[in-house]
Amino acid sequence: MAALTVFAADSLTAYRSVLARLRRHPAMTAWFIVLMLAATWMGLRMAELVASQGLDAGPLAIQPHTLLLVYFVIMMGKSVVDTNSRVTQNKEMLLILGQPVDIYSALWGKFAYIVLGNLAVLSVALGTATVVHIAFIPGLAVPPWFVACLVPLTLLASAMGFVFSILTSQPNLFKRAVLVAAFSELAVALYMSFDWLKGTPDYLVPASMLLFAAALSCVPMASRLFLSAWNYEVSGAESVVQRATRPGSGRLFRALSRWMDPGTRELFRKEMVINISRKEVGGTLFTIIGLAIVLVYLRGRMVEPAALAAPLGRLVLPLLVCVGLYIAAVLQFAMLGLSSLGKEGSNFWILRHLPVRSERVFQAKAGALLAFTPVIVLAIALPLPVLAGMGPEWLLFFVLAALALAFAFTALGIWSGTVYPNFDEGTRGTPDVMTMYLIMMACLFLGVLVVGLPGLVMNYDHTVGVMCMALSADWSALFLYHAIRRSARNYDALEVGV
Amino acid sequence: MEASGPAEPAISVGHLTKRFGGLVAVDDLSFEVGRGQIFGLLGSNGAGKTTTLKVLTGLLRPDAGTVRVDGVDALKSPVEAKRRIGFLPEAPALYDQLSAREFLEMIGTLRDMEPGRLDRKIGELLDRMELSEFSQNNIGTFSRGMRQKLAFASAVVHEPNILILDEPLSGLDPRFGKLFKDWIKAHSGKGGSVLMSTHVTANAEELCDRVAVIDRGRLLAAGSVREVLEGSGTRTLEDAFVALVGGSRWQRSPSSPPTA
Repeated sequence: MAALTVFAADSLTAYRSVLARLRRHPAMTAWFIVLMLAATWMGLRMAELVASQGLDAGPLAIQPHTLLLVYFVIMMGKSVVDTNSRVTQNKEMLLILGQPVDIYSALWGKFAYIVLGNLAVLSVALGTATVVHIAFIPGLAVPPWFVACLVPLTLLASAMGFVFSILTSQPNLFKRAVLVAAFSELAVALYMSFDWLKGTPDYLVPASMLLFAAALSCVPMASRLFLSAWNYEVSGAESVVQRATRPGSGRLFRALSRWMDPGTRELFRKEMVINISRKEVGGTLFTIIGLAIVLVYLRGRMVEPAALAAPLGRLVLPLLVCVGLYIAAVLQFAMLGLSSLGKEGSNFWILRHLPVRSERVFQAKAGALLAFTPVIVLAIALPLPVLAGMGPEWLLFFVLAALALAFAFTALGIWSGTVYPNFDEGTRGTPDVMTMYLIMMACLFLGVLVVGLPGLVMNYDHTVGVMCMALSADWSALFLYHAIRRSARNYDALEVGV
Repeated sequence: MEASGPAEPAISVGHLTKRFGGLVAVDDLSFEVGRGQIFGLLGSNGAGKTTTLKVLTGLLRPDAGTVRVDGVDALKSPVEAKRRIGFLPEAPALYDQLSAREFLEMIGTLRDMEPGRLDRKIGELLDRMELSEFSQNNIGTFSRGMRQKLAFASAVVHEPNILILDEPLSGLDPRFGKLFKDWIKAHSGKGGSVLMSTHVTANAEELCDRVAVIDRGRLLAAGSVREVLEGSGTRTLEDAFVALVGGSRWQRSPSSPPTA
């Protein structure tokens, strides 16, 4: 009964919040639907093209079961994030934990809510795909087992995400590592079973269901560990004896902040410490390194570019690097920039009551994001071109491209964060999904301008191409300078609520 | 930058108005806080005390009126005005991921304090607040009282002439409540000014040289505690407060007087 009450309260809150958001931005909602239909059409059209040439054709040999695994990973990531914000790191859980309610029941209610959210996303995606399929691409034959697998994989991803969120929030590092390693075996089992059964895909559904049952049995076990995780995340009660260890006192920090005045350096240190402590940067860097591994893997699976038709053969590798740079830069600069002001939350008063020029605040925020540019250069911009034996002019081009995207996306992210600030601590300052989607689209457009145009020149003349890219990076820096000033103006106009 | 003369009040608020949509949170409010004075802003919950203090500290912009802090126009030169004050909000949210020392270092550096002086001052404040033992711990691990003490330390670390305190004694145990009161009195004794909001009349009676009673954003009475008592014909500030605030509601709706 308690589980049902918790589930109903959460579902009702989410439903009303979505409804309020849709009502608040009707034009944006309509635009979002158009974009979703267009993106689905593009996805299905590409699938049709690949299917018409055989599954192994094209530069990337991607099979349907690989797509299912990618879907599973994305859904599991979403479940971890949802569980973090709704359960493990949610201060409002105190209201539930303070009631005479069995903790298992409360967590089953929370888990059911996570599952419902994921199934709702799947329903919308399948509904859109069905409409587009019937209306525009009726020729595409989608295997029934592919669609059938989506449901058990969604359930499995929800259970695994829920458990992972609790396990990764354990206060003891050793315990955390052991539990995560043990539970990760389920993910390995999923990968292996999909690899074994790809020849007999009808068995994928029962295999996923079996793994879901196994993951589900781990939910009560994780619930036993919930209290220590929640206390650690919310109040840090178990870490009272732990002394703070700071990246801010390291040599790297001193080197990075040497050119700053003392005030900006303090703000920069605060940003770095908070970003790192909140695991946002850690999560993003983890994703970037994962992306780098995927890119190298794809390069390994790729048909030799020379064997492809003329323009594709020449473009496929640079395009792959550019896509990697775009994704990494969107995550590290645009998305974190977007929440850089909102994440201040109730701490907003601190900076506002101090005699600090607003530009300084945003210089520090931009600096803390840009400090991680070398990671993107080392993980994305260099490995693939080096492995592919591209010349030094290409290496320079990609390093400059990473810099240009870093400046441009930081500018866009930080500025947008002051136009659409969100001080809701539950979401850690991240604006709603529609705003995020629009910013991603804007980044795509900006990325084409900043890197695509010099890339076109590079296609004809390497020296001029590199020079164009350097010029583009320079303009992006100028763009960032102006974005900081505009953001400061927007920030000055904001009022702290009463 | 404008210079402040000795005769200039520490804080001067003139015809201040702040609206939130249709709600008038502060309505044509005027008062002055003299040098060396402890001034109490009294009012019920939602009376407009916090909004007034937020306007004074640059967290909100008024719709009308003037605000001068130490002779500086706080609306035209907010950064200059902010240099002159120390501010303690009612429920101070702090950076949970910073340690107590890091937080004070950040505040002091942003207030342009010289590093040696800042370091000495932080050590002294942490000692007095009995936080030295926890100076390297994350603020996220602090209790409410510890946070309040740390926030108070951040308000006084640069030794400002003017303190603006929003319900400074809430959440403190009696021992630290007394420490804060002594601090406020000592600050005033050294010529510093304090503007504090409270709805605890006993605190105002004990600490304040002058008080202003506000309700629904409007000034109902202002003066020394004695003047307010005489004006309201009551013997305690609590009675005066009830008489003034209750009276204002009674005047607004005479057909439905408050019932016991």
